[in-house]
Order: sequence, then C-alpha cells, then structure tokens
Amino acid sequence: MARDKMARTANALTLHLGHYVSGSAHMLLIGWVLFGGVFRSAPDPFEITGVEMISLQEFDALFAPENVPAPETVVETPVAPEVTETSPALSPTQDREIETVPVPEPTPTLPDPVPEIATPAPPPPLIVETPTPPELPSIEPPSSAPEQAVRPIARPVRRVAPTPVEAPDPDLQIDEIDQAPTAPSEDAAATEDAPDATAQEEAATEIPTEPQEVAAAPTTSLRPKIRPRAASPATPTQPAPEATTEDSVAAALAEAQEQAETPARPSGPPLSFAEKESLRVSVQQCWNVDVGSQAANVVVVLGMSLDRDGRVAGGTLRLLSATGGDERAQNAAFEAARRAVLRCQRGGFNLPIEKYEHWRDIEMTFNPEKMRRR
Amino acid sequence: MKTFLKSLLCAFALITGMTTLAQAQDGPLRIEITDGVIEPLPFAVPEFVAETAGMGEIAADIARVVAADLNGTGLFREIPEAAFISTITNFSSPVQYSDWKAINAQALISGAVSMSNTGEMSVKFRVYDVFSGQELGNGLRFRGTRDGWRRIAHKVADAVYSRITGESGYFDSRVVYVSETGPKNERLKRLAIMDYDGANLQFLTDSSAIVLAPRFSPNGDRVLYTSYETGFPRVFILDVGSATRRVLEDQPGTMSFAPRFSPDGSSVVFSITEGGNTDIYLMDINSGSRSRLTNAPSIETAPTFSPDGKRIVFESDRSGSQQLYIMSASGGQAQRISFGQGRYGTPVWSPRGDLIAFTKQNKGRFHIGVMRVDGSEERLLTASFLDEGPTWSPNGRVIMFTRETQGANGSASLYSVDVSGRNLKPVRTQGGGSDPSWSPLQQ
Repeated sequence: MARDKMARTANALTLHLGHYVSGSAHMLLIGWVLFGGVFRSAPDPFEITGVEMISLQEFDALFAPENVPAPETVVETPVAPEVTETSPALSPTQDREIETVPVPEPTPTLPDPVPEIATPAPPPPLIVETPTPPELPSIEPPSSAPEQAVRPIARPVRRVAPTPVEAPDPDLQIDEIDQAPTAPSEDAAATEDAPDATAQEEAATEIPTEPQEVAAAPTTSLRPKIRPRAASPATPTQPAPEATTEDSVAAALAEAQEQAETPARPSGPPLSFAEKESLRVSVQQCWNVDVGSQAANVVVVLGMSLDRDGRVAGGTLRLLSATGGDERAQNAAFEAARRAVLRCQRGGFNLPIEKYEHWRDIEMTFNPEKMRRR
Repeated sequence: MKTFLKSLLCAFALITGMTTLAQAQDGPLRIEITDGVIEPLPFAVPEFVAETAGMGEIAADIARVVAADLNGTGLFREIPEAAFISTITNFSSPVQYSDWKAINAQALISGAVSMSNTGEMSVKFRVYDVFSGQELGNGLRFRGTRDGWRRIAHKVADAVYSRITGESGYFDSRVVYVSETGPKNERLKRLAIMDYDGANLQFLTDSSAIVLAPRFSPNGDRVLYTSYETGFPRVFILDVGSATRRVLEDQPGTMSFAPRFSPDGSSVVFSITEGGNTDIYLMDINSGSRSRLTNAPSIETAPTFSPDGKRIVFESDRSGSQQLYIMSASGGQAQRISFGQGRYGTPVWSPRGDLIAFTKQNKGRFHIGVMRVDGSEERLLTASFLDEGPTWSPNGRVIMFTRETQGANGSASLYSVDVSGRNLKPVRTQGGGSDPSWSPLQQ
C-alpha cells in the first residue's frame, strides 16, 4: 500500500517534473526578456557601406608598403587652392548672365504693342468707321451650295473620275477628292451624312469578300458553316428517295442560319488583354483632348476596318454615334478622335496578323469624362 | 423517325453552337479610350501668297497675326517656318500632305492676298487636316480695306479656330478697360478701347475724372461705365462710334454704379445706394423708367443677366458674408448659389450660359473662379495678391481680369486665363489697366 503510494508520488513527481522544469524555464525566459534588456532600446542604427570585391592581386597591391600614406598627402595639398580660385571666378560671371536675361524679358511684353496711341484724345475718336462696313465675310457660293449636293456624289466620283465639281469661283475648286466628308463648320448635320455614305459603300464591298475568307480559313468555329454547304450538294448524290422532308428542312434551316450570319465569325483565340491594351495605348497617345471645350462633353464611337497591315482601310473610318454636346461639339470631337486614329496608325497598328479576323473591324469609343476631371 | 431526331438534334446543336459563338465575340473588336493627352495642336501657316504685286509684306503680316491668334489660345502650337519641307506658292495647287505630315503639322493653313483695282483687299484661305488628307470646310474669302488688315487676319483666325475646335472664335473682338498711368497715389484713369490683342488702342475719355468698370453693350456699340465726373459715382452711357456720352442715372443724394446691359441692349441693371442701403434696379434706357429688383437692408450689387435674359446673378451680404445669389430678371426671391469658404463677388454669366465666373477672397488671397449655375463644380483658376473683375471672351472660353501687385509701387494690369485654368498670361496694354470688358465678336 505504502509502496503503492510512494510509487504514485514518484510517478506524480516525474509527471509534474516536466511542468516544473518548463514552468521555471519559462519564468526565467520571461524575466530575462523583461529585465534583461532585450527590448530596452531599439537596435543600434547601422550603416550600410559599399562592399567591393577585389582580387588577390588587388588585395596585395593595397597592402603594398607605400600605398596608404602617399595619396593622402598628394591629394590634400593641391585641391584646396584650386577650389578657392575657381569658385570666386565662376560665381560673378553666372550672376551677370542671369541678371541680364530677366531684364529684357519683361520689357518685350510692353514695347511690342502695335497700338498707335491716338494721343490722349478725349474728344471724339471715331473707331468703328474703318472696320465695320468693309468686312463682308463672303461665304462664297460654292461653299454652301455644292457642299450638300457634292457629298452624295463625291463617293462615286472617287471611283469614276476625280474631277472636282467646278464652282463659280476658281479659288474654291475642290482639289482634294476627300474634301467632301468634312462638313462646313456651319452645318454639322451634313458631316454626319458623309460618314454614313462611306459606311454603306464599304458594307457593300465587304459582303462579297467575306464569304471567301470564311471558306479559305476553315478552323474550328467554321465547321458548322461549311458542313451544311457540303451537305446541300451532297444530297443529290445520296439516294434521292431517302431524303426526308425533315432533313431538307434542317438543311434549309442550317443554310438560312448560315446566310443570316453573313459577317464572318472570327476564328481562333481572341486578342489577349495585352494586345488590346497596346492598341488602346497607341491610340490614346495621339488623342488630344481640349478639356475646356464643349467637345470634351461628347462621347464618340468610331467604326473602322483595318487592312492586314493594321492601317485603316480607305474611307472606312466613320462616326457611329455621338452623345452629349451640340452638333458642332460632336463634329469637333469626331475630328479629334479621327485625328488620333489616323495619326497614330503610322505604318499600321501593331496587331498579330494571325488574329486578323478579330481586329479587322473595330469600334472605338472615345470618352473624355476622365480627362475633364483632371 | 431516327433520322428526324438526328436532324433535329443537328439543327439544335447548330443553333446553340452559333449563339454561344456569337456571345463569345459579338461583332467588331471594341476598345474604349479614356486617357488622352492635353497638348497644343501643331499647325503650320506658311506665308500667305501675294497674288498682286506689292502685297508681299501685308501677306506676311496677315499670316503672322493669324499664327499669333492661334498660338495665344494655348490650344495650338505653331511650327516654325524653318522646319517646313515645302511651302505654298500657289493657293490653288494641291497640297503635298506628306511634307506636312513629316513635320507633324496636324493643321495647315494656306492663304492668299490680292488687291483689286478699286482698292479692295481680298484675303482667302483654306484649312487642311493633314493626317486625314482633307480640307476642313471650304475655302473662304474676306474683303476689306488695306487699313483693316488686322481685322481680316483676326477673322481668318476665328474661322480656323472654329473649324478645328467646333466652337466660335474670339479674335475679332475688342476690349474696353480703364487705362491707368502715373504713380499709385496720383493715378490717371481713362477709358480705353483696343483690339483683344492690344492693337489699335484708343482713348474714350480724358483723365479729368475717375472712371470705373466699363461694360460693353451686347452688340459692342455702346459702353456703360461709372464716373465721378459730378463728384459722386454716376452711371454714364457712351456711344463708341462718336465717343459722346450722357449720364444715365442722376438722382440727387444717391450713388449709382455697377451697371450692365440686358442681353437685348434695351435696359440696364445697376445698383443705387440711397440712405446707406444698396439695392439693384432695372432701367429702360429709352424711357428712363426704372424698377427696383431687390429690397433688403443688406448690400446688393454687381448684377449680371443670364444670356437668355431671364435671370440675374448678383452679390449680397444678406447672410452675413458676401455671397452670390440668383433671382428672376423681374426681382423677387433670390437663391444663394455660393457656399464655399471666403467671400464671393463680381459674378459674370458666361455667354454659353453654363458657367458663372466670379472673384473670390479667401484667407487673404484673391482668386478668379468659375462655377456651374447651380453653384456646383466650383473651380478656382487663379490665385494672387489681388485678382478681380472677370469678363468672358465672346465664345465663353477665356476670362480676362485685373491683377494688381502688392506694395507702394504695385500696379494693375490685365491678364487672361483659359476656362480650364491653363494658359494664364498678361494681356498687352500700353501702361497699366484694370476693369476689362470683352466685346462680342464684331460683325
């Protein structure tokens, strides 16, 4: 019994021994942390010194007997006099230069004015006489009349014969064939007509080309289109009687679907984020926003088709929509956006040719809201 | 039946396949551009072509004025002639766009000057958008006398500005202001009128009496101003063409000041101080009949009409500090629009109608600022020891104001700033100047 008890206490002792040891050790540790000065002060500030790797030879050379003392004496003596000599010499000349510059600067603003001061003449200086009557801002006949008529005609002219529409005044002959799309500043409504004209024209020319491209590029997504086409010529070869009405309905349906879907579906992987981003950045570099103007309240969407070189295909750049501002502001916003595209395309936007189908047609939105808040 | 099912399934698969494809990429590639650059648009103005003998000099001068007008806006930057690859020697011959593209000229202005037998000078011009290879608008011609060449040049610049920015210009305009000469304690003040760029300066009054705050009529033919000619401040109206003037409001024992025309030019809104109280009145110019628009014990002054003539903005200290209020043009309840820190004064409604320019005094500094008509989007455009008295350019794009420097030798001069806060610069005047008022575009 007693042995049992002893054994138990011994057991308990050994059991608790661990606790005691760990407890006292922790106490010691905490005490040391608190009073031992571990956190008493921040670590000493340390300096960073540059370290250079040197070769053995260099090391030896460094400790060659004469090396250390010699440079010190050499350096010190010459430097001091040089500095004192040069610094006074430089400072006066610089000052003189600076002084002379500002003096003339304010003056040019004053003497320049052309005004012929009609000597302090309190009595009656007649001012309006010269300017008002003579100025006849003669908006020449051609500018108003032909412009509206020309716009629809101009497009055909480009293809047939680039002879400008003759106007009464020889000065106003239209030299540039492209003249038509830009509107007179007075009626911006007319400008919007012009892009429309180009849009239709392009739409007409594109449709025949696209199916060919589709046929030429049969990749994954094209498969559904090609099959029905193959199926329809194939049907006659198949035993004719077998062709059920359902089949032909399905085929017709598929064909109709295919036809409805005339614009080619781009195939292959779409443009990556980085590729889109690089296009965006390259255009915005050239997008000059006049934040104080009414045009800065207009969001314009431009449509365009690019050729395989990444250049805007002739006449495809058009205004799709403009929101905010009046017509003139919208026109100015369109011009600025168009300038951005045309100026930054340079030799062509940098886009991966293998994804041409994805970037052939682009809709670009120019939203100046963020710029306004700058 | 099997085949029917098969074909049905095929058709179904086809349709669903196509719709998912359509969802994957629907139509053209869409890109949104939100970050542009703010920089002056580079343009080139080759010397205008002299089409008749002896016009070479004036042709060059006109091109210079056009370039100076455009440069001065801060929105355009002229490409120096030294950089030109080719130049224009014949107004009618086609433009070599590539030559101008190479020097990054985005706009090209060509012009020609000729003189008829009758002594009428004719200036024609064209504007080209170089990068799209198109002409902006059509050619245009102005006719006038040789003496009026600067106005013609300004008109050309206005047309160019308008074609590129889509907004009307402001170059063919004038400014009436108070010319200040002499030391600060003995300053001579005269009404002066000049082109917006400082040319063609003329004086409208002598310096015998102090004159203040001239204001152009809506068509620029008359000027309202305040003069101490009679010993007290009185509102005068002056005909610009003949420089004849008459007192508009001459009630004994009162002071009248701060006049402005209504948009139709038929009436004048101004302040009268009577018995220590200042209120706003409206007067019909022809009949001389007047009506009182405000009736408060506080000071109400600096009234200005909205461009549509339906409302009036003015300053008042009825709340304890000087603030801006808007009321109907016939008077009545006024609504406070300025709520920022400091004191607001001299409000002016923009010709576009969307903004109100004002002078603000806060923490010992003066500012010219703009806010929307409802008081929102307040923007301070300038800051200095003393900026005050804004006036709008005819197109509502630029604000001209008075800046006065500190100290015994301090002087007042005219400055202008773009409504975006850019392009702050002094206006060229002969000597000092204050209280500018910008005319409308000349007809």
